[in-house]
Amino acid sequence: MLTLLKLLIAGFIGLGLGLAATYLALRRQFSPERVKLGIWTTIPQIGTNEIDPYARARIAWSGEVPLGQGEGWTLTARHDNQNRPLKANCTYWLSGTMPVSRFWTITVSKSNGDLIDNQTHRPSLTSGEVVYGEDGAAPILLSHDVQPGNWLQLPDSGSFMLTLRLYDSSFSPLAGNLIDDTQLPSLARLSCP
Amino acid sequence: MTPLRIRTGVLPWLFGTLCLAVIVHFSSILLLPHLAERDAYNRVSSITDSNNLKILPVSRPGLEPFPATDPNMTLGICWYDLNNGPLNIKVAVPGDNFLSLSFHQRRGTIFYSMTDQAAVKGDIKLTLATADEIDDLQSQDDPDGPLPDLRITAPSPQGFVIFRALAPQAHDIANAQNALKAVSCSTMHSEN
Repeated sequence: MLTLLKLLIAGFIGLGLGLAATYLALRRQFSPERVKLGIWTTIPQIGTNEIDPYARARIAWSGEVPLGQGEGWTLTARHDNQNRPLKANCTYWLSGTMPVSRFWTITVSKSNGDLIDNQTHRPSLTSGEVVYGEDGAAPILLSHDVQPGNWLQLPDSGSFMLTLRLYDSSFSPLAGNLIDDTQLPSLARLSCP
Repeated sequence: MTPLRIRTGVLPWLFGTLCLAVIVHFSSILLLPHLAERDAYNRVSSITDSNNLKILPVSRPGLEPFPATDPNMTLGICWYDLNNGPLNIKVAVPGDNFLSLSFHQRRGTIFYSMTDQAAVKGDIKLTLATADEIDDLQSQDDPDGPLPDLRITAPSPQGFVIFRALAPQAHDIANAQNALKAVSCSTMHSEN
């Protein structure tokens, strides 16, 4: 009788631990194939047949439709240059090289990718609407309050995520961590209350 | 003596529990794509008929057709069941504007994707079919005739195609929608 009880308890604990690990892996978007390039991370195989079981489970769970490898790349950032989490009440400066692409877009969202409403109703900027300097660069200021020039509005409060999408790009993250991350823009925190 | 005896007695239980946890974890990850009710295919097939292109409203906060999509993209979807015959797709490429296609299996995995750069003379024309159907089509080809359209083998008969048209600026959304309205996605009917 005691052994049966022990078996039941061990069974429940095992089941609970296993499901908790699955839930955490989905929530944290874990993937063994994830690569980190500067502030950006991506799963290069997500748009191919070689997608790993964790990424496949996550897109089925969330209902996401990732970009195919032949369309472009999706890179996300949740931390600044100094690895501090991104906060909406701070001001950030996104600058540096943008990989050669036909188009790119940069989007502010919650950390699960859901869009956040802001006063401009524009949670995103594209390569077709930013103003380029004489050096061909288009640095972007991210803040809650209105700014002149290339500006992306951050929500009122909380944390946020940045998503960079490169369409028809010469850049490829397939070489993983061997890639020189100066090919991608970097994000400096200018001020924080 | 007693505490040591208890500890060694617990070890097999601990080991068994952990083994069970590992098995539950891996099998749930592998099973999830087969059990998920809100996956992309179920979303797609609940809002549109098969073989019919449906243009989705542009993503707005709280009103996203799919999570984590680019709000600058207008999406069109077309789900298919190749058991009814191969699927013909025709896209007139909208000048310089970006348009792309991704082909998804029933469980979401992408097996092919392309952009408008692959167009020939301003059009993308392709046939999506199962391996058997592709063999049939090939056997009907006239060896001296014109080259057939692009043919893509689908690994499984059911799935969906996502068409994306970019609006680089807010006022381009109408253009992106028009580009998708010109897309055709229909089952090819056999001639016999």
